[in-house]
Amino acid sequence: MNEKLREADVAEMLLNGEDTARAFDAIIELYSERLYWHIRRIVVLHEDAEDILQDTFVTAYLKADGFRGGKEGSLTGWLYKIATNLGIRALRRRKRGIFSPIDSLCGRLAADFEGEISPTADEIAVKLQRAVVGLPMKQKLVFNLRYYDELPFEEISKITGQSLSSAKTNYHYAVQKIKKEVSQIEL
Amino acid sequence: MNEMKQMPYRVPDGFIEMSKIRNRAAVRRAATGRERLGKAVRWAVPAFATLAVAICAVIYFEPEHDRDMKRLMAQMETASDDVIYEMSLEVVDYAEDLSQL
Repeated sequence: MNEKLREADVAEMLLNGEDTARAFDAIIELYSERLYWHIRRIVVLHEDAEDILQDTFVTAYLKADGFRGGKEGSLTGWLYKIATNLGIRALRRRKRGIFSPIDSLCGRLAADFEGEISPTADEIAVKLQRAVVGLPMKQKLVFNLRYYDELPFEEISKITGQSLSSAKTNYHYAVQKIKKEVSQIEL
Repeated sequence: MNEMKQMPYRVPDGFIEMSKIRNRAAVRRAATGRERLGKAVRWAVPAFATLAVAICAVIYFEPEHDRDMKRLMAQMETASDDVIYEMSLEVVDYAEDLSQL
């Protein structure tokens, strides 16, 4: 059974409301790795990503009645939206002033990233991620969801709350900025 | 993810599989918590309804003379002396005693 079929099956189980606990066993199996990395790319620190991943599954479980599926969004989009919101909320708690923008954390995230690099990491992957971490949040989210998670722009637009054209524009700007820093990588 | 998309972050060995176990347990705890909340709500609704009925009963069966007195006091606020006297006759058993005042 391929992943798309399984996603559809799990979504059906949730919509039917027959066995939510069993549906969540499948969701955790299917999405743990993808969501962990999505969250990690937002918050950088492993411990934070671990906590937020758990919050994502628990929040999704408690709000399972709110999942409508169909035209309102896929199961993947719904889970990514919860994870994104929780990741952004965690970052908001980290910044100093209430009114300072979330992008004021760029420097801190960049410093956190340097301490989180695996000693066995590929050099180009490090350069790319260093450039991504430094992007403004809107651009970073769109870039990550498109480049790493390979989601369609329609889905990205729903997850990030941006219009379709804004999502595409932000992706374009993100790619331009990253290319400046990492010219040898083909994006 | 292809080779280029490998993430350069440090991750504890076996983290993803361990996190699946922990997160399934967390969801089960949330399920139990919600079930308990559901039970509490199921108990709270009839208890609240019983309390509401009791309050309504107390209000409804308020001693009759208290209600007459309140009605009389409200009417007294704006009534003329003659009207006050007439109204007093309606609610006082010994009107002749009152007329001597």
